[in-house]
Amino acid sequence: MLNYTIRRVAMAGLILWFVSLVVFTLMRLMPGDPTLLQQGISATPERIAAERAAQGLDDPIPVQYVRWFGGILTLDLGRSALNQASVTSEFKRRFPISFELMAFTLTWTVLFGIPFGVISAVKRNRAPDYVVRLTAILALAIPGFWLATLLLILPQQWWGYAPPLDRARSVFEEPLTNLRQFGPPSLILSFAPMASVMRLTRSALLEVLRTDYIRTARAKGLSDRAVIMNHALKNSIIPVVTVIGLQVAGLLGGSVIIESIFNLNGLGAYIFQAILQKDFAVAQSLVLYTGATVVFLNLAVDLAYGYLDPRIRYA
Amino acid sequence: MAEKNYWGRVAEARVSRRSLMRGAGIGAAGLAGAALIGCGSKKESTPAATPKAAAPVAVTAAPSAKQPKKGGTFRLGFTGTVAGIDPHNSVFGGSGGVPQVYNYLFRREVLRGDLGLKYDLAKSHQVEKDGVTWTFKLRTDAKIAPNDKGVPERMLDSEDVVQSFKRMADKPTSANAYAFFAAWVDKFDAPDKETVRLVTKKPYAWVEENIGDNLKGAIVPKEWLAKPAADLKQWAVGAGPFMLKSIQEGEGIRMVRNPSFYDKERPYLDAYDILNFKDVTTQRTALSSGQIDSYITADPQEAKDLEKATKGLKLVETGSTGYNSFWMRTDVALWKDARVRRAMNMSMNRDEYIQIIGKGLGKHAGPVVPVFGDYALSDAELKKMQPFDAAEAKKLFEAAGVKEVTFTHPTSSTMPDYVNIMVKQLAAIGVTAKPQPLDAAAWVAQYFGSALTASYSLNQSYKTPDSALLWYRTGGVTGSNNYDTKFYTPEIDALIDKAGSTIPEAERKTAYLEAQRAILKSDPAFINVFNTGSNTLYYDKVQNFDAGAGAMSAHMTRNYWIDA
Repeated sequence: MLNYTIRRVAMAGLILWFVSLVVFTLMRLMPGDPTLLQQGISATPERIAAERAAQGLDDPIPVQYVRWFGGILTLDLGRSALNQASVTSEFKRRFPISFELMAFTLTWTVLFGIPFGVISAVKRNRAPDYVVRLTAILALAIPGFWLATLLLILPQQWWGYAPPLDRARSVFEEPLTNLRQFGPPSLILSFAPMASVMRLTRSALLEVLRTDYIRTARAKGLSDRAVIMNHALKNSIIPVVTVIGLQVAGLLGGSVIIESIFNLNGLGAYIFQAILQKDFAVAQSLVLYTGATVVFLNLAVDLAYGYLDPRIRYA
Repeated sequence: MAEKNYWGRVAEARVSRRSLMRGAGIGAAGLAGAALIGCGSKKESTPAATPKAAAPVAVTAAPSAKQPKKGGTFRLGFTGTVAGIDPHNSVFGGSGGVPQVYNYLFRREVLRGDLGLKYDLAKSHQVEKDGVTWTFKLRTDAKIAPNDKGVPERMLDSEDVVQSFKRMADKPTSANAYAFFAAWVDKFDAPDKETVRLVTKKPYAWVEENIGDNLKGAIVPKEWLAKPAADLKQWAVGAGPFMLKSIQEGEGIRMVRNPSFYDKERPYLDAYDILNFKDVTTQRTALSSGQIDSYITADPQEAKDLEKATKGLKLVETGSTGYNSFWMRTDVALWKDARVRRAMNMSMNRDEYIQIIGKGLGKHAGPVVPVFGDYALSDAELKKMQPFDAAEAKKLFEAAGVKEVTFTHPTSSTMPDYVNIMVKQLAAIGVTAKPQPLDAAAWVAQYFGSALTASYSLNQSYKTPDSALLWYRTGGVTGSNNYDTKFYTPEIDALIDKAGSTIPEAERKTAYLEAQRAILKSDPAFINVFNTGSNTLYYDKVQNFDAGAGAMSAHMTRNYWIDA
């Protein structure tokens, strides 16, 4: 187990270094000069040159890469070219917003996805199954941005209600306002993963319910509840955990559209704007962060398999 | 002792819902009971300089007859980026905070001739008989706001003005006022602490408008100017009516009243927020739910619907200086051919653009947009000088052997409509248009360096007829040959300069019309589509609201008060 973990962490480091190279190179291959975008219409060539020098964009590409990567290792992500703000500080300010959105979304996903998946499997081909499956398909089919827009506009038009849209309130300072701000977007964000988790739970559970050991458990006179909760569900949950792990990784990178609609200034909106503005320091660092999130959550999911299924051994 | 957060208070069982409600009530009562301080309608001094005629567009709301109350927050919204708050080269969202935190010698805007000239740091000014020497007498009570940036809280004086002028005139700084300083300003100095002198190379009609422009003329404390440019971009320290409280990309700019502001009665507002939205739907919802107090849209129907649906919302329709253009680079064979440029202009059915994009609100645009009134060519003359004539355009394209044109455009929200109309109109005369979309970053970079061959050009907006004509003058709109069409003539340069140097207004208007006629006859490489309208919505609780865009509006906010 320890050897396996060490090997996987080393591999993750290698992957992330490769990702950093790719991200760094691709950002520079994109057409457009960040300094131009940031200086506005009156920019003079002298100003552009001075700005390029100040941002170190005049240096050879390898030098720029080493400087940036060295900064990453010391947790100095550089400064945004757009407003000279520290990327590390901005990351710290925005991360809690994306994290909370992810936490809420994950809560809804697990809270509704798994139980309804179980209900759907247990009540196979009966009314509850059809209702749950139909709802899941709807949740997958309806675009989240459309629902989010409706959820913002309609209550306002009908009842004059809208959540506070100026800035995200801290859950520690204003918990109720925070809930008004994060509840609706997280619910919408959870629809698609909730549907996936529900369908996956259903199919995995159905497969397990057909196995011999479940038949044996039933033959021994165990109740349906005990069979499902104690024997079937745990063995069918591995693929669900994998999917949830990937969802978490995606959500930690922020959700561009939902954050934008509810004006929550998380990482999604930040990275989107940075890419549009060619804000190298921000875009590179956040893409690398997203990559790291995916890599390490995958690792965490893999390690969780051993706990969920003791038959799995790490060679 | 550090203040406890909500959970801390809950843990100590000190907070019940009832007690929270009671607290809120007391807070509201406190606001309502704030001291009522009279406005007094302080009379502004009149300028001693060249007389100006009334502006072609007046957008002043009726002044409030009620007694102003202190307190409250005025909240604006915008979409896009904040991109810092540099006092001299901000053009994005951050530029909205600059006129609130810094001072100007005064404010003046052509389109707000109804307001006249509003003094700020200057208390009077005059121009000598030579027409080039301008002397500004400064007030002595403009105290720098409290700050933790190491800028002393002293009175602003002439040295601050001179240092600010130096930064504006410094080419590498890329100040918004650079073109003015480079082309027209000979020298400036400070004879004493209360006097600033500026000498132009020759008489220039728009000195006041340039110095009084909210994007150009901010006066910054010299100690703050001495800091690195990055500091000036991230924070602001001045002696204006408000102090910066926070500036965050994605959230916007928050400002609070400057307790040291020289006008002890104003601003009436406690705070002024400029909130940053990423989506216009969100911004609109914020307006409808009362989370922002004003909203501007080019769509007249949207404005009317919002006014109808939202209690307390008022609509003011105003002119706008905004327009989009088609830009061609004339060292490229295709666009060097005057017939092709003329054919492009003639193929443009501007009425269709106005109907589809402007929803019927908008006017044909010549080199100077019609909102400038007598400075712009009349609609009738424009239709003669740049007519929509599909048959003639077709002949011209055929004569030049052109069956296909390629042009670039930025991927912005309204641009696809412009592009689709152009493609359709060209197709109708047998020319295949091949638009090439570019993301904003790539487009600006290539446009700036004149690396494109032809492109739609976004969001032109100028505060004087003179600035708009710089597109047709050697040096271009920035004075530095950026966005260069490579199409300039000494004759047109001379006509533009002559118009700018003509002081008597009636003659100046004539001179600008002459310059524009010459420009249009030359088959310009920068042709304007149409001048959009503007619709400003605001809540009627905001008293003394001023719907005029630009410098004057930013000055008028110190008169706003909330009648809650």
